[in-house]
Amino acid sequence: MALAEFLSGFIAGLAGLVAFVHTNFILQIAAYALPEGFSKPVFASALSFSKLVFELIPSIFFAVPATSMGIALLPSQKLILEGKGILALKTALGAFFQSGVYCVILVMPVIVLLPVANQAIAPVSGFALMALVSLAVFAKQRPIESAFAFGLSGALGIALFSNAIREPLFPLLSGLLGVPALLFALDEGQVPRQEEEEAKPTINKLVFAGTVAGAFSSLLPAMTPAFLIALIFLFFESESPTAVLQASSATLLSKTFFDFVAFYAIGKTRSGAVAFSGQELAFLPQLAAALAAGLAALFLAIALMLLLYRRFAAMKVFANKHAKLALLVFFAIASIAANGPIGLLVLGASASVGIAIALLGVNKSMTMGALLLPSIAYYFHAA
Amino acid sequence: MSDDLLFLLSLFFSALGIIALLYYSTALEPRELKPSMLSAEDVGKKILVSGTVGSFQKGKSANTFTICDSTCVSAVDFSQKQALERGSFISAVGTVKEYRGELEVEVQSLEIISEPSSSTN
Repeated sequence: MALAEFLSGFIAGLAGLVAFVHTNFILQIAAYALPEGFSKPVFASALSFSKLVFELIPSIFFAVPATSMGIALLPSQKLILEGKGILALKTALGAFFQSGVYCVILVMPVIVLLPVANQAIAPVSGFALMALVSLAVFAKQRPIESAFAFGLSGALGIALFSNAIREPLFPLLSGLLGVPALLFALDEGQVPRQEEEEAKPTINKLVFAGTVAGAFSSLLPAMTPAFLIALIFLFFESESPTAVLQASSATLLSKTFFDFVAFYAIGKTRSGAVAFSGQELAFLPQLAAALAAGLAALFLAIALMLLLYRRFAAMKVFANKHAKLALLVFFAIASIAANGPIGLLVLGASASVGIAIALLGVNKSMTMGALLLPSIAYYFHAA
Repeated sequence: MSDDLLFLLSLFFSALGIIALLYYSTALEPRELKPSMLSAEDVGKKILVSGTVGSFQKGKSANTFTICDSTCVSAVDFSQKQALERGSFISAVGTVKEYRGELEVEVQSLEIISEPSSSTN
């Protein structure tokens, strides 16, 4: 029976090839479609991990930011304009693989350490989050401009999340990241042919740091992968696109994995997949089955991508002006489809903020203020 | 790491994951038990328990009831899909947990086998 849940979850993860399909949307359908007795944790875990790998295709080759990835794959857009899209994909796959192995090694120590760390941090988690954000913002090369950009996107996020908008993440992230990237690349002419290239050797300390950051991300509210990546780069200053990709991929993978573990260890629900799995994850055998299914899906999806990537690299959707304009229209239609006319307003406002931040010339991670500032505000308001 | 090596290692680890899943999946298959057979050793295990509804209380976030044969065990249903009548014979799949020192079945799915009027139990 577990194989049926695993295979259905893995196949459902193929939806990652269509960037705007959110994991939570698939889980909502699954809640009605799955037969009684199906193991929800096994299904949700296989889905989350295979979707994470398949989302690399639209995020890298078509410049459509997947909602679960946010800013994490932004460096790949730079690489694809240099004809190195295949290198970007292989770099991310290699980091996923290595981080998956680290996750297995770290799982038992993390199960032991998380409750202790949670007890120590819980009373001051809002202040700890604020301190980390301040550190990330003010340690940048242009702290005043960075703080302004962070505040600007934060104000947008607060305005957005205080209103009842059905699916805010897609227009928000597409506007902040996708639209500016496409507009600035509109007149850059043909994207060069994507050359076949072996992945660069993995920087072990970056992948390990990303994995550890993801493992303990559940301790603080609003620990998005993008924010964790910004923190990692405060300590490891090598910001080459491939290094960023390795760290961000490892963090994404580790966060997906340890979100499941966090429910078992400290009872915190940090993702839609964990909420869908419900109380079954509170028991070790069920958690072990879910993690085994997730890792099996991860490694199978990596192998499948290594077989198929050439077909996607040859599609050149990101290649010419018409294709870029078509993608902009796609963002608009998808935003309206998800939220009605207000979706277009959200996309426009987010794009304006994204363009302003790009023109300021500060690090694009400051756009993540749109997710972080509302979380901080909510924490102190709730407290 | 070369592409070929990454491909082969990924396939190998995927196979290992599936073997681990099959090993742990025994924990996912519910074991059939009667309320009187439940013990502290069953905590954390998924079970299929059948019996008569002894009491039923509809709550704000969960329905609570007892499933009985010669003894009764408490059950909690967060899905609240079905209201139950006292005396109905039901079959429920759930996980055994300890709540306030007592065993309790957290129900994931349940089926009414017979209503009180037609019940032979």
